[in-house]
Amino acid sequence: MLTRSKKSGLIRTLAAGAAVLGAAFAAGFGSLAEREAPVVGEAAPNFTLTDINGESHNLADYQGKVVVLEWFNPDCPFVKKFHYATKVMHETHADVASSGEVVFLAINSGAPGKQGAGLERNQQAATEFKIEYPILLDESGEVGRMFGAKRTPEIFVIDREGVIQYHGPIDSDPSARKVGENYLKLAVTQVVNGESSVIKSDNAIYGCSVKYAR
Amino acid sequence: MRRPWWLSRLSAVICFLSATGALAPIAQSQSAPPKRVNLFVTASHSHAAPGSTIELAYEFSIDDGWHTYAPAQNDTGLSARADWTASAGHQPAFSGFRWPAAERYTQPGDILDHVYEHHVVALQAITVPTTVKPGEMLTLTGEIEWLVCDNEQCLPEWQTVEVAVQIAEESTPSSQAGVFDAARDAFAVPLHDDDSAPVSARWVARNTLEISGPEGAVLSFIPFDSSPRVQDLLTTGSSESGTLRLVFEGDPNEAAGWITLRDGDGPTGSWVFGSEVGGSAEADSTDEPSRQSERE
Repeated sequence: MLTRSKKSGLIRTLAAGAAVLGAAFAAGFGSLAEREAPVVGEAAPNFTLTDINGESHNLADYQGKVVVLEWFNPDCPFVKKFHYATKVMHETHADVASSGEVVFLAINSGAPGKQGAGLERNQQAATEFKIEYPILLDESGEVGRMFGAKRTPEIFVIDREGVIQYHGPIDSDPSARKVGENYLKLAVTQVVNGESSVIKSDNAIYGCSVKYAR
Repeated sequence: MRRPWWLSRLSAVICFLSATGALAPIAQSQSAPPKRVNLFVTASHSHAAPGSTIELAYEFSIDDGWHTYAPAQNDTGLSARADWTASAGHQPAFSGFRWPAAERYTQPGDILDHVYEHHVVALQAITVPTTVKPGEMLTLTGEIEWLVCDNEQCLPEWQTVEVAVQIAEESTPSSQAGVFDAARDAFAVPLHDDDSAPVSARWVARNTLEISGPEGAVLSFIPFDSSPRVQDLLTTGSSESGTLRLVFEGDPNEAAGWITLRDGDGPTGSWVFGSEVGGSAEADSTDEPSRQSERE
């Protein structure tokens, strides 16, 4: 039987290793070898990461569902705005994921020792923030760099065919305290409904930097 | 039961200190985390005539090792913002901020931001409403919000400030004129106004701007957040070769930003290409909406 600390170490190792290894990719998802960050309209690169409960997640396995990737750092004030000061993420997840058609995955690409990184801190945050979806650890930063994720929070909405349809912030108000229009909910609703024109949001980029390893 | 005389005196002293705000720093130091930025806001005029234009100076003193964000093409962060309300329902018109040129700041993950360290002053012009009459006091209450970060963490900070201006027949500068003069001295000058600038800029294709400067110095371009984005700014936005080639993703007539030059000893100059951030009246008056080159 694994002790807590041994289990934590194993999970960390799995998380780092799994991101690098990748897996068998389903059609529609790009290859791990592609280093150019994808843009809206392009296939999401596939990855495999382990969550804070030790479960492995392969993006390609979610083909047929709409996937929300949320770059996450529990100690970033902008992340706290949506998870703690307000319940925007909790409510949005409850609203759009209840049908089972939409999957949320939070990804923390913070390197070991950096702010908000590590298994224990993210397990604690999952409880503290009442997050009901997996938090994946990407301590090597490989998956974050592959997507070109630079800030937290940062959202990618991927359609049922594995194509990125939205890349941007959660809301329209670049503030650590005030909440604007819920771009995430709007984007997910549009993608679920198969609408061709998904909201563009380049004008509201804000957040903490992803705490990658140097 | 009658209160002892000393308790009454103590209560009076506490009331006085509370009213003057003297107790506030004590309370703040016990309950709130230390702020990394101190903000001081002041008006350019003690007396202002209805319809006249005055300025506000926002003086940010930033702890060593920390930075705030410029209104530029950044990958992360948040530049300062201000929400103002005026007394008695008056509605003064606020222009955008004017800031000095910022510094490039890179982090792992190809993250590029443009920041201020140590000390920075921004100015903002206000047009005094004509609804307020001489003899009245125009009181402005502002909520200023900014983000301050170091290499490891970011902290949102904010401060509520109040600025009072006496309305009079004629405007009178305040005693803080030096703050405004120093701020203006630190601003970049419009490139097309500086005949002796060691840098030049010209369009070499519809969306491609070439900026030239002396070889060996670090030449950088920092697009304003209102400008069309520059492709691959991390690698194309700064060079020691003496030339930058910048490809804009939108209307080239809207391209704008700071050009900075620095050598081993630090910054040696900064210029504005295109329209100034926020567009103060002064900057707008010198802008050329359609141009082929500046200081070609």
